[in-house]
Amino acid sequence: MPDLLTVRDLQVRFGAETVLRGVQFGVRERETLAVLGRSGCGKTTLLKTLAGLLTADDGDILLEGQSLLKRPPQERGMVYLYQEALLFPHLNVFENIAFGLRLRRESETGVRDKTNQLLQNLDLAGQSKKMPHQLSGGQKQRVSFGRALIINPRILLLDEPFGNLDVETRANMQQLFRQVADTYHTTAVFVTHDLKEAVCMGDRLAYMENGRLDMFDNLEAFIADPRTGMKQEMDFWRKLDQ
Amino acid sequence: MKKAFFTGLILVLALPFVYLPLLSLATQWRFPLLIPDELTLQHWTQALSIGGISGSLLFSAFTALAVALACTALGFRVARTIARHPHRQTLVAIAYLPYAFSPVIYAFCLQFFFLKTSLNGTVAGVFLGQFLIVFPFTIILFVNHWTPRLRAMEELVYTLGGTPAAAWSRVLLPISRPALLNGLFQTFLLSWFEYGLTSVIGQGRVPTLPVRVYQYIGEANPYFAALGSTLLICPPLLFLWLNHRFQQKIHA
Amino acid sequence: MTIQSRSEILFVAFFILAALFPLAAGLSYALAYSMGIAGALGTGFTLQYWQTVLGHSGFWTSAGLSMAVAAGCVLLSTGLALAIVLTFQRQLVHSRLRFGIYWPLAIPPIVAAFWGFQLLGSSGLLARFAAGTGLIQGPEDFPPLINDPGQVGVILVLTMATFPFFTVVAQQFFRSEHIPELMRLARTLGASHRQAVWRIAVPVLLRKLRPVLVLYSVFLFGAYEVPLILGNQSNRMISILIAQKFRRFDLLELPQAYVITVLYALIVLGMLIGFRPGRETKGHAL
Repeated sequence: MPDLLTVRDLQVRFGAETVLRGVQFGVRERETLAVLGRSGCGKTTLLKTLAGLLTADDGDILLEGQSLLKRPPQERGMVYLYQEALLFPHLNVFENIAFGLRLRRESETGVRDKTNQLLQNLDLAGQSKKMPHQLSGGQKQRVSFGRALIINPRILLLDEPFGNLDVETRANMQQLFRQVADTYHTTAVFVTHDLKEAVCMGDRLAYMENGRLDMFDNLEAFIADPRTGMKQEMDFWRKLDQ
Repeated sequence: MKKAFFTGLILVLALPFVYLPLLSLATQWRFPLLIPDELTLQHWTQALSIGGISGSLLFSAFTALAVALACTALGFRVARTIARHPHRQTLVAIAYLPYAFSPVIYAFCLQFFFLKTSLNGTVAGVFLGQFLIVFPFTIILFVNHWTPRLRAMEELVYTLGGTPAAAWSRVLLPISRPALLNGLFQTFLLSWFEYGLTSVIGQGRVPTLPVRVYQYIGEANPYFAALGSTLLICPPLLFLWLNHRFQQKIHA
Repeated sequence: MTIQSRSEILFVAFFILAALFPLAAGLSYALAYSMGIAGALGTGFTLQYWQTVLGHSGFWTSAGLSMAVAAGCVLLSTGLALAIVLTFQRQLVHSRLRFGIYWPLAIPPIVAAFWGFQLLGSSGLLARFAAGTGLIQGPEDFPPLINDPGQVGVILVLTMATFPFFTVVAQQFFRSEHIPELMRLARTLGASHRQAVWRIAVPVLLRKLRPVLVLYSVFLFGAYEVPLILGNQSNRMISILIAQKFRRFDLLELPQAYVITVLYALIVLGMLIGFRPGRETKGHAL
């Protein structure tokens, strides 16, 4: 299957500092690419550049073979989700989710049907009238997903989306994301510093360090690379078991 | 001791708001009486019918509204640029200069240029002069409003397919409403209170309410000065009350 | 690297044009005039006016007086504000004082000056109270508090206008810095109430208040309306001195007025750079 998204030799500099150094990878349709990396490795810059919120100094970003570099964020079909849910505080849950449809001036019935459907799928059915400050952290993140999914983005860009949640909610959300990704045939780039999360969420895995990204062909290759810390982690549990 | 301090404090805070309206209703107030001999509406009917004060009232309100609208709108937008500027700190420091400078001395500095452009003694001149001190203040006021979080929200609108116009109309302006309202109040009051710069640039030909009050003080007409003062403290008191109500609503 | 548009550059240009350019142009003109390079008396470069101003005691007295008034007001207002916040905490949160402390912010300087005149004058409200309680016989017995050489009236009225704002800000910091919790913690570590106040609450509040105090020192240093109405005619604060020299229409006084303006600007700049109020302060107009 050809790649939906292709990134070629991407370079981004902030003044004298080079943040992305020739990043290169591809993401296939309906696939989630999990990128593992510590903070400051360039993960956020990578996602923001893909979304068109930062400009690339060199290289290319292709969606179905078409270069996106000249296109503004509005026309890239990629939604960038932050660690924080960033719900619009003046809109209720329903209107937050329906926001993208309102931008597209969709008919009232269209908005109602699609939004209610998403509210159902995201387990938010009873919450539609609530304001963002009345929601828990996990609920906010669900609304944030709904708001992105409703416009059928070509690619979801997720920047540590569960970083602010407690362990239990985090596990629930990971499960929910997998379900939702299957239901909506989502293609996603999922960035995290959490080893377990990367392995759980990614169909394929990559590791990022110092502005460079390495793709792994399979889980074995990922485990074999000492930088990922996967082997260390497995050894730790194995020892404990013995 | 504590009780006396508290009573004294309340007196200091409240007394001018009782005394000034009372004085505006007096025609005579002999020493050492604590309340006037008689209270009438004579000065009020006189002031409001002859023009003078009522003209100044309208003129001040118009000027303050114009300055508040112009400064809040421009300041809000320019503060966004400055908040995201690499030299943000320097630019904010610059905004403090005209704000900290004594308005009357600033006016004397500007006088030469205002004379050359025939703006001295004109309404436009007073508007421009007030704009030059109020606008930098709006930058100080709004620069902290433009947080990275607000920027992230704006960017989110873009990736969801919204244009910059949609980001402003559907997100930035609606969630900034309290800040904008607060900005409007504060800038209105800066202009409404302004005397030093207005007296220099207006040269007595632009009779705002503070200028009028000063004239009455100079003419030893305490009753009209008190009347003008009462009018001057009404709008800010109203704003304070509205703000108080708003805060109570939030807490409730 | 972010998407920059030309409009962003235009906005910065507009800001410089409105905030910096007029002040810089005005001060440059003042400097040129004060050195005989510009203006009707522009006979060529001279330091004569600078020598006159710096050699004459008038400027120094005015600057010193303005400094003293500003320092006195800030000191008194800070003391009052801290005393109110630490003594009337319950009232500031629950009683009418919560709203009342804001009232004086509704008084413009010109009205504050007029009110001071009515309160402190020899036949003013205080004198009436004094006469009512038999402390004085007539207005002539009342001590001169306005237009007095000691500027007592000016200091009192400026303090009355300043301390409520300081109180409001101190109260905000009292909450935001969790001072009650810090004081309780100090008590559990063995501090007396007095020690908790003087070693915790006061230093923390003063530290947070510092930018506001600096900014208000600058404002009060250049105060105009209150000294204009309540000040002493021969012992003038700096704004009054400058205004008088500009308004005298004596061509020979104009260059001196510009000299003092430049000196005033240097002092203000020195205060601002020396203490950097912008670092922590958020905007407050009232």
